[in-house]
Amino acid sequence: MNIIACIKVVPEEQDIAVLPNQELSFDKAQWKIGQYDLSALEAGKQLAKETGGSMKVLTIGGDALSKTKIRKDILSRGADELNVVITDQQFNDSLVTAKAIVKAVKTMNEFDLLIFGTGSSDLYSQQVGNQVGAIMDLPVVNEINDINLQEGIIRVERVLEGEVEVLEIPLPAVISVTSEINVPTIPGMRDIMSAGKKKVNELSVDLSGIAGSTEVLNDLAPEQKDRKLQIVKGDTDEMVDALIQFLNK
Amino acid sequence: MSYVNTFIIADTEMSIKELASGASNLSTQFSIIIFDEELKDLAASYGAKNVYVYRCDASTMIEDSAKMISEKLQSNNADLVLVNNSVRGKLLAGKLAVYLDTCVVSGISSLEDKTTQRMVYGGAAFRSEKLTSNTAVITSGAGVFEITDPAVSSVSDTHFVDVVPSNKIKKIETQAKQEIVSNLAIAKKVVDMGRGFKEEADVEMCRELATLLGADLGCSRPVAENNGWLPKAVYIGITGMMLKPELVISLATSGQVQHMVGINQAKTIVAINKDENSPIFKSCDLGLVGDVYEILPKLIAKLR
Ligand SMILES: Cc1cc2nc3c(=O)[nH]c(=O)nc-3n(C[C@H](O)[C@H](O)[C@H](O)COP(=O)(O)OP(=O)(O)OC[C@H]3O[C@@H](n4cnc5c(N)ncnc54)[C@H](O)[C@@H]3O)c2cc1C
Ligand SMILES: Nc1ncnc2c1ncn2[C@@H]1O[C@H](COP(=O)(O)O)[C@@H](O)[C@H]1O
Repeated sequence: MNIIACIKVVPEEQDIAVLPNQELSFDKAQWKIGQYDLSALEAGKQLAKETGGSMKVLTIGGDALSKTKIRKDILSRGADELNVVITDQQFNDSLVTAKAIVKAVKTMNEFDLLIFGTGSSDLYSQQVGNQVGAIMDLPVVNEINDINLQEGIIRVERVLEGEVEVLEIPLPAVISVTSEINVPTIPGMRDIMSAGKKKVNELSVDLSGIAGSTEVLNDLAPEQKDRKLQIVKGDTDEMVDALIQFLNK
Repeated sequence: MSYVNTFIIADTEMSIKELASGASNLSTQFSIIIFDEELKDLAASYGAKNVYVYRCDASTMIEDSAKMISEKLQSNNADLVLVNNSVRGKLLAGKLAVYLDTCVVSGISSLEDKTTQRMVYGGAAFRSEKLTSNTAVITSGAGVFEITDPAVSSVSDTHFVDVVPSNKIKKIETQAKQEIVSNLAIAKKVVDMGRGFKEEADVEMCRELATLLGADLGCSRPVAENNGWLPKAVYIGITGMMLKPELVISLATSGQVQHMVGINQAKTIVAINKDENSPIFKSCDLGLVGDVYEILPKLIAKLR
């Protein structure tokens, strides 16, 4: 089975600084694979292994994607090949991202399955996969929590709020997986060594014609609630009394 | 009124109430699209101009109706499409937005004057944005719009549409999960159970505390996901419920950021943890450094 996993490289949340005017600064931010996309990589890797197939990874983003370190990190997680589109285009709009991915995918070889994470860890719209599927007019399903391969189809479990749905999806298809579908493996020494030898393609895709339909006004850190930080320790009865007093205030 | 003709897409009873309450303040008129025929009277009672029931046979996903719905939206010049932020709602919204050539603003925390707010960067910021397309496709979950009472008198037209499946996905079966009756999303007080508890029977202790306080019971992800002690629908955090209650009492949770963003908007946070260095003590109003197995029985006894 030929798999393409789409992942987003995002700023490490812990490195995001809040400026005095509540705006965010990314100046010191390291870049990492979105945490939900680790599950997409793992799912793709497992399926590729099971079927004797291959997994390619596609990621679109800015300069951060030029760095060897992040490329190696991606390639050490089961990808056979990495495809990057480097652009200074902003991706604030789920449809713009989806259209860009469709353009990039079309320059790659045929695939049986496109796998997405449940959401990008920066914007977390949980939409790009759905929209890629709709644009390509392929079967598309979100929140898949289990995948079983059968002849020409996958049989999946999809977790909804009040029920679990069992679906048969003909291939080729577009799916997004939950962050609970697997526990992503931590790459071992051998994975990291072999990552350096794998192929990286810088795709040239013309994204200029894609217009967005949202205007971001601002990204502001939420007002920090001033917590009282009153800490009580020691005798249990005293703590219980302190708590009851606190609740009665 | 910011909008002229809103369409609500609601897959649950709760979302009909919430989104209709929201739309009646936002839009001159609105219509509701539902999939469960039994909810048609409820939908009508909120003063929807039209109620559309999209019906599917048992082997068809309701999301297969997206093409047909998008044609309805276009022919009615919908300027706002408010979709429940459920798994189904999200897939529907994504497809609809493609057919309408626009993006989806998902999981909003507010919508005023055509400006949406939603959380980004794992809780580090709220993004304000304005949609520039003719039709805004927005998903909104529990707790965003305050539920109001249904309109006193209203006349809705109800229409039935049979969905013609457009793709070849086959629904084989649906396994009902345990029925979940939880008002967590709109609860004023929440007891938050963490992984520090040792066994499933301890759920009862937490539940009793919640009952005594008039609170609802929620938990951290591992309590639902790994231990299976509480339904997944009540875990709190970035991939679970986002809450804004008056009070949260967080029991034996460590205060990891993915969990905290779900309770950070609470007015007051009380934490009990036996580890003095636990990060939860950096973001609470009252922190008790102690063992839940010693504190809770005494607390419960005193509250009884
Ligand atoms: C992609 C991703 C998404 C995630 N999304 C979420 C999410 O939405 N929601 C969520 O909750 N988590 C989420 N997590 C998990 C999150 O990172 C933490 O692992 C989780 O929140 C920890 O739960 P906890 O605090 O209950 O447990 P722990 O971190 O294990 O903490 C247990 C605490 O209990 C204390 N304790 C133990 N025994 C006692 C006792 N007898 N008395 C008092 N205190 C005691 C310990 O000191 C400890 O601090 C996510 C993780 C990932 C990777
Ligand atoms: N720039 C990107 N490049 C590749 N894949 C992406 C990109 N942005 C989003 N994705 C994929 O789409 C999923 C959903 O993203 P989102 O709709 O932003 O939450 C992510 O989990 C990724 O799998």
